[in-house]
Amino acid sequence: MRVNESEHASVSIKRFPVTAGEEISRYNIPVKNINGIAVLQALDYIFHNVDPSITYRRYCCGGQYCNSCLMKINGVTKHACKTVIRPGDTVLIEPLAGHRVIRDLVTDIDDCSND
Amino acid sequence: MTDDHEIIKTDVVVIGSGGAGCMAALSASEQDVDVTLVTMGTIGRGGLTATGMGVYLLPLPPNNDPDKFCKFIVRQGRYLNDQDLVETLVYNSLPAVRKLESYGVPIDWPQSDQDFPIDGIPCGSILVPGVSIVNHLRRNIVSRANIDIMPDCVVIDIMTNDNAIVGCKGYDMRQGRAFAILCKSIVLATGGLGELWTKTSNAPMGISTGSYGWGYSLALGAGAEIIDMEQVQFVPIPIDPQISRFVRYLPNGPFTNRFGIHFMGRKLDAYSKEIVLALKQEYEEGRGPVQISVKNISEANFFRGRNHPSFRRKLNMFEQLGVNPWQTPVHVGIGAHHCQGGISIDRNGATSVQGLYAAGEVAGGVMGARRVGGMAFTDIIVFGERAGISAGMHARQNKHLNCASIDDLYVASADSKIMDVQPREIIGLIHSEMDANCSIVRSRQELMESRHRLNHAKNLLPRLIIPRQQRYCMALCDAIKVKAMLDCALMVVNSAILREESRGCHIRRDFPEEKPVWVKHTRIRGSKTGITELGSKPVKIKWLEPGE
Repeated sequence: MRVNESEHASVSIKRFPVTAGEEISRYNIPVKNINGIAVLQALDYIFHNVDPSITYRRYCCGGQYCNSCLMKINGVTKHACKTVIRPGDTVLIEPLAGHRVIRDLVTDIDDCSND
Repeated sequence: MTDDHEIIKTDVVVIGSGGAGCMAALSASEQDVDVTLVTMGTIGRGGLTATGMGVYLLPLPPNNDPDKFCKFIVRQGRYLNDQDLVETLVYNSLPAVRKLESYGVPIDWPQSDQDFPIDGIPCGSILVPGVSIVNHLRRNIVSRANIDIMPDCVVIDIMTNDNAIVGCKGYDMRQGRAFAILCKSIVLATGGLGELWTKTSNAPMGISTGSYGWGYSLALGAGAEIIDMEQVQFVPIPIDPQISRFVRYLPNGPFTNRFGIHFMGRKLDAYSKEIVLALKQEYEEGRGPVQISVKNISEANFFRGRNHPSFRRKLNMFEQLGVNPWQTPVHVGIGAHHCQGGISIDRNGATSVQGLYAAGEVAGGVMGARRVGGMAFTDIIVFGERAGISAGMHARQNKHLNCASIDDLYVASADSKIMDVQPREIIGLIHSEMDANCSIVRSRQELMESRHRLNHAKNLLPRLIIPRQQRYCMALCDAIKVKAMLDCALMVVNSAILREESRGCHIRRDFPEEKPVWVKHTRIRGSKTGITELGSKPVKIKWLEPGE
């Protein structure tokens, strides 16, 4: 979904627990490369430059194998390492459904973990 | 950090849950001891094992001669390999695969000599994708009653008493509190340190796998001997972040510079220093960007004998991203790939600290000065298993030791008055020093300057901004990571200063020749405060004299 043709993208992140009174935090981030950046890179950008309170699993195989980065992106379960945000995109990121949320986008992804 | 503090007692702690860590946890548990597997994320997710294509080199009977293969590895390693470790690796590579199979990991055995051919290497190979290793081992681990898993936990410190293991302590991100584990043995299986450099295959598509040298720093603090840290392999990697590291496996496509000139005539091994040096020269002399074009290599030809779902999946990913290298040339740069040096181990993965074991990339001495491509998986499986067995046996035969001081059990809280340094400021400094002065070609002067600035950066550690503790605090982890990265950067720089010659992956502008006198390991020992001893130690030579 395109909001406008610009060098920015709008990224919304569902928070858990509710942070600063907001259930969803919104960020406008620069995306200069026409080919876009991966959702995980966008999250890294926000963590390092805008809001160090956002939480996600940042270590990932980068090749949609390990499933560490599975999230709901615009309502669909996707790999954040591979899903691309392009300039002008509006993206809503929520934690993977069906798993206990630990904080923000971090879930207890290992079904078979003894946790 | 906090008063809310958990103390756990177990027999064996395994730190890291890639291939080596999972193998170690399973093998230790088979020694009938209690095992705790501590991992920074969840088992096998993140880390580099899952990214591995799955080439596993081994001598396959009846065609391959193991002795010939051993000698090949040592010649590639420029005689810096401990030959007893090479022997152990090669002779145990087949039994280790059988062990993997017994855990239910599917192995693609070659159907004929034409399958999975590896040019110029006197051995065979099987295919076992990394993701398949970690997924199957994970299933085995969770079904074992005597393996306890601690996901999302970062170990900060290994406690010793009189050079023997007492336990370890760290931060549990899920619970948002500190923990201490009392144990008899510890296996370090934490992987490499490629992310000390900005360009690295360890961060595929610009995404971190967490390869920042956690384990080397823990071993340094525990006083273990660490060798050959200057031997870091640099290889051609795709620099367009949208393209996965898979493209690294297309080295035989011709490299062309900005003017369309093929600057490397003959076909070379992707990991050879000739390729890396030629690439560097093209960029330095303004003829970049360099591209690999595989347009003329038919896809069918490239995948000959490799028609594996794992390869297919990567290809699908390219197509989805619109970066199919058969349609678009790939921009290539140079990135850090694999650290051959590491914690000094013996045949059983034992280090110089009693009860401390290491396996996989974090261990040193196996690959010498240059790794043979395709040997990393063999390394993690063989030595992961051996370190696990040894750690289990050690735990069975020994008692828990007491801490030197009860304070050892607690994680000190940040008591600094000034907190004004962001972790990423120090990470930025480490990256710029390592990229500029400690990458492919090094010199004494530049290394000394970097050492000075990195040492200075250590003074900033007490001033790191650490936010109020909360669950899954990424900024706190960054503060922990920065210390490990600084320790590692200083180990690499100091070892690189010490080795006054060029050997394998270590290339010195001021000492361009390989010197016979340097067939020895650079050796580091340290304490909680950093490096305390810097020297050298002999290489274990058994059956191949240097130069033979």
